[in-house]
Amino acid sequence: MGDLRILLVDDEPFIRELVEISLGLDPEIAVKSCASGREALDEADLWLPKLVLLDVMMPEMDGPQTLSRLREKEATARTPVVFMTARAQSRDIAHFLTLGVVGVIPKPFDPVGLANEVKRYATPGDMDLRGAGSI
Amino acid sequence: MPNWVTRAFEGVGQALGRRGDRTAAAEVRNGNGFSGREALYAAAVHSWSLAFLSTDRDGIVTGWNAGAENLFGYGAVEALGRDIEAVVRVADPEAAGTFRDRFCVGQRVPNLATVALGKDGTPIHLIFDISPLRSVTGDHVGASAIARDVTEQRLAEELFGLAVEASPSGMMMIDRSGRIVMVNREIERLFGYHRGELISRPVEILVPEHMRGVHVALRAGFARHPESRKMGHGRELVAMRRDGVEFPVEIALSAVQIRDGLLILAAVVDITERRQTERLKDEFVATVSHELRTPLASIAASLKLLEAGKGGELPPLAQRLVTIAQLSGERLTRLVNDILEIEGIESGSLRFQFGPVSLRATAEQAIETSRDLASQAGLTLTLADSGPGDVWADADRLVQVVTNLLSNAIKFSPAGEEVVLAIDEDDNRVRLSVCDRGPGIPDEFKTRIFSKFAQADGSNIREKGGAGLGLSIVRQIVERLGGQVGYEPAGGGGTVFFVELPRPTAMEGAPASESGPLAAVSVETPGAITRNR
Repeated sequence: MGDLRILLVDDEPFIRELVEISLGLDPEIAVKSCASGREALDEADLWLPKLVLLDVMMPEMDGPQTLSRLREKEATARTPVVFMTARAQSRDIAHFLTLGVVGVIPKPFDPVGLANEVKRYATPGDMDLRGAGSI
Repeated sequence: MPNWVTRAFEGVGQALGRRGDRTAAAEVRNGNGFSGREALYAAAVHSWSLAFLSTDRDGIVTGWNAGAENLFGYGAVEALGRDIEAVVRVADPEAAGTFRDRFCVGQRVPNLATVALGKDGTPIHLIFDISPLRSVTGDHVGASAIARDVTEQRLAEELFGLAVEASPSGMMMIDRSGRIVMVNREIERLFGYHRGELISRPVEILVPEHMRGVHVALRAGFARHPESRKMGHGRELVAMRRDGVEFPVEIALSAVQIRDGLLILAAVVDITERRQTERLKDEFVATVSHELRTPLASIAASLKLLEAGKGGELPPLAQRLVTIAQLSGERLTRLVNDILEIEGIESGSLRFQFGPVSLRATAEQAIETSRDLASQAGLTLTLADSGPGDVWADADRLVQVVTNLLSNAIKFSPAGEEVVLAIDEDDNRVRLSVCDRGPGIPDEFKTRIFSKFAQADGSNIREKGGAGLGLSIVRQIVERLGGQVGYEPAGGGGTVFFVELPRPTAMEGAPASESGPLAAVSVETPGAITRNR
C-alpha cells in the first residue's frame, strides 16, 4: 500500500467498493473509506489524509457540511477536498467550486483513470508534469 | 345649440306657455302666432328625430317634438302642459326631484345621464343637454333640452364591464402618470384592496418597495414604446399585497388610446403556483439525477474494470457481453444527461458564457469527440476546407451542438459513407453544415424534427439508440446563442443540417458574457462529463 493517503466518504457501499478497487490499482495510493461525514471527521483526525474524496448528497451530514467541519479542524483545515457527485450539472459544479473544493469529479466516473485524476488534485505542485498526457 | 333654434323654440314655448293650449302643437306646425321664419324653425325642430323638449320655470312641459314623442311614447298633446316629472319618468324615485329641478334653476346642465321609463314602462338610458330659456328681455322663462337615447351603448358598456369584472385575470388601467384608473374584482382579490383604495393611487403601491424604482423605469419605457407585450416575460416580476406579502406575477400590457391620451391596460396573473411547480420540477430533476446516476456509476465502473481486465482475463463471449452491457450503460447515461441538459436550458438555469469562438476549431473538437462513434459505424468524418468561422457564442455549448449534429448524422448514414462538415460565412453570419447520407426526413416528421423526444415513425431508431433529444438540444442551444437551425435535402441523397450564428462584429456592444459561473467551470463541466460518457 502506497503512502498517498486518500480518504473516501460516500454513503453508497458499491461506490465505496469500486472507488477502493479503482484507486487500489495504483500502488502509490492508500485508501480508507467512510460511510458518513461524521465518521470521516474522526478518521481524518487520526489518519491525516493527503486528499478527501467527498460525496455531496449524503443523509444527515452532506458533503458541503462535512467540508466546512473539516475546515474548522486544525488537522484538516488545508487538506484538499474533491467532491465526487452525481449532481454534476454545470450550475451545481459552479456552486461547489465556490465552496472551496479543488475539483469536482462527476459520477459516473472513469475507474481506470480515477487514480491519475485523484493524484493530480492531491499534488497540485506537480499537476502540470503529471497531468500532461493523462486522461 | 344655434341661436336661431333657441329663439324659435323659445318662441314656441312662450306661445304654448302663454296659451296653455294642449292643441297648440298642431298650431305650431301651421306656424300660428309666429313670423314666417320662426314658424319654419319651429316646424323644423318639431320634425327632428332627435328629442327636443322645453318647460317653463315651474317644470311644466311647453315643448315636445316628434323625437320626444317617439322616445318617451307620449304624444305632444299628452305631454304639453303636464309636469316634466309625469312624462320623463325618472326610474330612480330619489333622483326624480333633482332631475326636475335642473329644468327650473336657469342653468346650463350638459351631459346629464339618467334612466327614465317610457310610457310602456321600458327603461331608457338618456343623456340630457339642458339650457335655460330667456325671453327677449333676458328674463328666465324656462328650459329647453335635447335628450339622446344611449340605451344600446349603455348595455354594450355594461356587458363589457361585466366581462372585465368577471375576468379570471386581474385587469387594471393606469394613466400615463402611473395612476390607477380602473381595477376589476380579481385585482381586489389578488392584492387585498378595495377598489376605492386603489383608484387614483400610483400603481407602485402594488410593487414591493425595493422594486419600485425599476418599475417606474419599466413603465416609462412602455409608455414610450407602447406595443402590446408581456411585462413579466422571461423575468420574474414581483407584486405586493396589502399585507406586505410579495408574490410573483406575469403582466401583459396593452396601450389604449382615448380622447384624453394614453391608458395602459395591464392583465395581471398570479404565477405563484406555476413557480411552485417549477421548483418541484427542479427538485425532482435533481433527485432523479442523483438517484439514477448513482447506480449507473456503479454499473459503468464495474463494467469498465471488467473490460480492462482488472477482474482477470475474460473469455471472448463474456467480453462481448460486457461490451453490450457497457454500451447500454453509456446510452442510459447519455439519456439522463440529455434530459438534465434540456431541463436546464428550458428553465434558464443553464448559464452561457459568450465570447468569440472559432467554428472551425469547434468542428475539429467535435469530430475528435465523435471519431470512435463514427468508426464503430464504419463512417468517416471530414471537415471541408474553410476559414476560421469566427462567431459569438459559448464555446462548450457549441461543441455540444456540433457533436449532437454529428451523432445524428452518424446514426442515419449507412456504413462506408462519409459525413461532411462545412463552414461558410458572410458579413453577418457563419453557417456550419453537416451533410449526412441518411434516408432523408419523412414529410410527416418535418414539423416535429426539432421537438423533444421526436422520432420518425417506423424508423429503426431503437437500434440506433436515441431518445429524440439530440436535435431538440441543438435547437434550444442555438436559439439561446442568437442563431438559428435548419435542414435541407442534400444533393445526391441525405440531409444537410445547418446552424447559423452571428459573427463577433455583428454583436458589437453585446455584453462579454452572461453573469455566470467562474471561467474555470467551463473546463470542469462538459469536458469532464463527456470524457466519462
